[in-house]
Amino acid sequence: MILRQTFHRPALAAVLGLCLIPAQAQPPAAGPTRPSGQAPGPAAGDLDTLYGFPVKPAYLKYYEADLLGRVPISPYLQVASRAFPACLDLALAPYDWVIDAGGNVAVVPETPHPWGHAFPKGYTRPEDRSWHKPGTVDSYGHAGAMGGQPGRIGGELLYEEETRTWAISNKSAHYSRKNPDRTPDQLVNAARLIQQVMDPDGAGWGDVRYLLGYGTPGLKSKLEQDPRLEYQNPAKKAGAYVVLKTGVIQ
Amino acid sequence: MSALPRPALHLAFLLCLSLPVAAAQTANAIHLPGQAVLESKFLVATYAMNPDATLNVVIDQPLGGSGKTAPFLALGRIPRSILANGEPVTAIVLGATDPGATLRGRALGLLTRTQDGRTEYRVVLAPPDGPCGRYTTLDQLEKEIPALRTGFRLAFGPTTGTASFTQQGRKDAVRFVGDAVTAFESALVQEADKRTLGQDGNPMLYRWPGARNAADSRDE
Repeated sequence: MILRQTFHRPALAAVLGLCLIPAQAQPPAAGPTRPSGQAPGPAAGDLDTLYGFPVKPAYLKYYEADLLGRVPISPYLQVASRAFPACLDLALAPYDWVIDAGGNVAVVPETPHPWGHAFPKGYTRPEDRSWHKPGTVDSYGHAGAMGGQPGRIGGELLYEEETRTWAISNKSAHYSRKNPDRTPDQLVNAARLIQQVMDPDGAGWGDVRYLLGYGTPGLKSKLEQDPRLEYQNPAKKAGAYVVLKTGVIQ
Repeated sequence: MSALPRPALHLAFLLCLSLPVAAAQTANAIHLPGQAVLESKFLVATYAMNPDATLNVVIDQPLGGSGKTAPFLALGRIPRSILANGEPVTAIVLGATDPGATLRGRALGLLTRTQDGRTEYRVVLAPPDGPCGRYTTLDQLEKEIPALRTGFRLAFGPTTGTASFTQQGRKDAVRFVGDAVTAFESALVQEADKRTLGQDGNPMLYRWPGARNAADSRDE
């Protein structure tokens, strides 16, 4: 009874859990950390240059850790490498991706999260005060791809019906935004790797889009002068981005 | 950790075990069984997914095999997964023999048998450090080790003349397991168990010890 009552007081349960059982902060029967069984790849220093230095997530959303602070890993997680490519599934798009410390691509579809809520009337996200439309459901994302561990550049994989292609962006507030070493060059490097280690499920590869809002303020000012600048919402000049590449990257 | 008194550790362990179990008592879409069955059948003490994207599997029954012309096979269960028939996902594990062992494997494909109007599923898992760890697809595996095809059919048990078998690839296996684990986890966690929303119905900021939680990471 006491346990049940405690359980209905999430904050108290979380405090109790975190104070009393630090050893349980890891999942039971935790498996190995990545990479595993991968072919030898670039050295860590090279990976830092190619994809940026691994950093802790900027933050976690309220539902991305359970009451004991454990970060559930998406059950659809794939960690793509040249030795073991990932299989994208058009039916599960969109996906979130992150380059991990070992230079593999962790990728998860945005599927409903068991600790999240549904918002039939929409909601305002506290991290950036952005409005999310009615019907939004809290979903797995970059934190669920990495289990909350440090990651390099990250972004999204959107399937675009019109062109039947996957568009790759740097849209990750957890791992890309405001990190100085998440540049357009690093996004192109990551996109090249993604194209090499993922089966696109019969679709092609489309745009590689650098979203200015997920870089640094200095880079944003510079790219605002770029002749390739476009907007997701041209009327409001919102969602500025630059298309870096289109199609297969050599 | 060593400074903590033993009773506190016991309480902590009980608390940890009881949280998801308590949540399961009145699950929404899927009705989960009681605590004992959750532990023995659905293996709630072990998560399904590892950070390297291998799946955990607990071996139930060896299926035989020579180990020479074809790898040993075993049947196992994927923890914290549930299908529409109320059963956990069953996996065929390549190169496994020991009942009770917990192994990790990568899903290579999904096999189905339809017999007497009933469809059964088997996910094929290859431990990355096992004899089939270098394979990435079922087709590749069966091409190089044709004897496996017979072993896979035997993994469904006795078959009548009307049975039909199908085989799908890794994409379908990933989705199948992901759906089954999501179904279980969603049934285990109730609305009342989740972090509460603010009075305005919006989520509240959460500070996780492993994140930077820096003000400059937010657009505030």
